Amino acid sequence: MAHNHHNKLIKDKMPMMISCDEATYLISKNQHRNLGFIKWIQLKVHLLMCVYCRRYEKQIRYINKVIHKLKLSPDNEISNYQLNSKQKENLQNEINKAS
Amino acid sequence: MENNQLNPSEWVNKYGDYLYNYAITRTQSQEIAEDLIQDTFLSALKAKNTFKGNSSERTWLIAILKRKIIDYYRNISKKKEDKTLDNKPFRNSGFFSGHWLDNKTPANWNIEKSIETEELLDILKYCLSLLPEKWKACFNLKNMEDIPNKEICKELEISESNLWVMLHRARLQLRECLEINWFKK
Repeated sequence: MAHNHHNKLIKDKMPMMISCDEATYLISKNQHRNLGFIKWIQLKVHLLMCVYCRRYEKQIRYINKVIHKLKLSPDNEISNYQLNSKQKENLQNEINKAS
Repeated sequence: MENNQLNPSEWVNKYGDYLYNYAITRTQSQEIAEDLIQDTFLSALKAKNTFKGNSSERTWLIAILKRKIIDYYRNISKKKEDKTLDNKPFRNSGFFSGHWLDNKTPANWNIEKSIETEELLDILKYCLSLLPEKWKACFNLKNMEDIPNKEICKELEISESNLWVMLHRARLQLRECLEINWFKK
């Protein structure tokens, strides 16, 4: 209770201040949906002041890009795993048994 | 009508490798991928009568595999995590509580010079494979399979705020892993 009260006091005094933990959380959420005006401003203010979170945001966007590449890799034949003949034979046997 | 027919005797040769790669990129494991495609073929046989020929045989099989991947993540995310997960890169006390720990601050990546080779994708897969199961489930279903939030929450039996927290934690760990294994090499 006392802890909550303390947090509330800090938030009342400095409504725009968020920690790096919160900022990185908002950066992550922002990849998927709108944060809403207040949260968005809080994040922007934090990013103005914090070089590490600015880097973090840039790196997360880069990771998204690479994830997208990985996702499409079976279609682009970048991901080139092949079932060996033994694996194929086993799979086909299972199918034949069940047919 | 040739297009509306299913030919199970051709499945492995025609679609086996594609489905295998598809499952590997979404589970980061060859063993799990092999099990999943076997399940996919067997389920497809059982559901043979529901194939209407509106889509191609290949699209139909991929849809079944997608379902298998969701089921797989639903099952593993039910298991209790054995390790404690309090390894955030932030200070947890004092005036600077919530700020980056000195030895965990993001380095300056040379993104412009990083070439997105197969090796980078392998390291990304490796880093994804190290995530705790629940985070991995959230991250893969959201980012690789594009499943809507509501459905992920239903399948994994978590709240939406839970989902945001786990995606956040997954990204923190993934970023650090890529920094150590790719950008600092």
